Amino acid sequence: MNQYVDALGDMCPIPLLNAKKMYSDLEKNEYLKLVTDHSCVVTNIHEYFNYLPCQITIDEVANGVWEILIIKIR
Amino acid sequence: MDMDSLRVFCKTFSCRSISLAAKELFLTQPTITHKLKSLEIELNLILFERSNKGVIPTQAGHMVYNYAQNMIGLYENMILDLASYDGETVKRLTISSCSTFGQYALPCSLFEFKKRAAHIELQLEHAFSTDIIIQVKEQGVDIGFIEGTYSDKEIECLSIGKSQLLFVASPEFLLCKTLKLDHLYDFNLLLMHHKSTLRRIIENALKNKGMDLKKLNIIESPSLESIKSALLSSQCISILPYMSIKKELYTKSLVSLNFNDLVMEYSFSLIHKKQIVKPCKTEFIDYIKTEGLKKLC
Repeated sequence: MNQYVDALGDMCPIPLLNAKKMYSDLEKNEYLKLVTDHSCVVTNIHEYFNYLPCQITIDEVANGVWEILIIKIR
Repeated sequence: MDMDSLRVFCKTFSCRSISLAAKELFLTQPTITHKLKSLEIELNLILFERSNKGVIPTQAGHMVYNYAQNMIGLYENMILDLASYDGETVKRLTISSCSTFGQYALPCSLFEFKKRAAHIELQLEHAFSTDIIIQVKEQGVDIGFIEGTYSDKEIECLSIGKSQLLFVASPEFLLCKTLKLDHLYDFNLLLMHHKSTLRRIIENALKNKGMDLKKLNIIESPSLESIKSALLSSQCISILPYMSIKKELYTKSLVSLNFNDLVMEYSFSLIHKKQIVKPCKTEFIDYIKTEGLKKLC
């Protein structure tokens, strides 16, 4: 099942820990969507998931608010 | 004069009562009285007028209080710095930040800094910008994050960035999102503490637009979170820094309002005392200058 993580207001490293846990429950082609208002969360998540078989897109939907989409490829 | 006498004096000053000071310091009243008397004899001044309702500081008492606070702050920072001294350098950094910046923007930068400098002990406090300047100048605090700028021959100021203050309210409350400033008189206005620099910026901006502050129904709160809760459940308007309401604007639990296109911008800065040279302070300032600015939220 696709997952959604509301990490607004959460400080590092909480969002990354939640994202790792949710990602491990995903099946192939499912996605995890995470919303955050901290730039370090964007960097940390990008750095971590870059080494995993997934597709990541990062969209700054408002000034200082990012939506990160992580699609599990395999 | 010793630190204990000064602490006893400061506690009595803030409590305005010897019995209350004794209770808070876990000392007997005669001990408090004796220490105050010794201080007065040493300084050759009466510091308090005693009455059966408590104590009232004299003018000399007020003067001594300002110095005493600085001396205690400096002494306590010295003791803690020495405790972290390993024979080569002091590994402790005290940071005092204005509360908005300290709550919403700074933690991520500090988290990243700690990852690369785990040996440095960080101590973070929140205070009003005017108090932070005094803490950095006179009480041994290493780094200050303030709203606005400040510099003199002792203090260096580094610009960190800018942000905005926005008019906000609950979406169910107002049908019209563009309003005239005169409409503000009809609503309750929830604002930050009067000592806050942002409050002064707001008041100056409204005064410059011809608003009469005395006619506004201002309700003051020291806590931004309590202001946000109040907005969600009542018919009020507030003016809040953008960084504190990003989540609420994204989830649309609060909406931003346009009053005569009034834009309120402010800057924030890092200040430190130039003559105090500490390797961990230099490391932190270099980090903020190079990467920390990008990590601020």
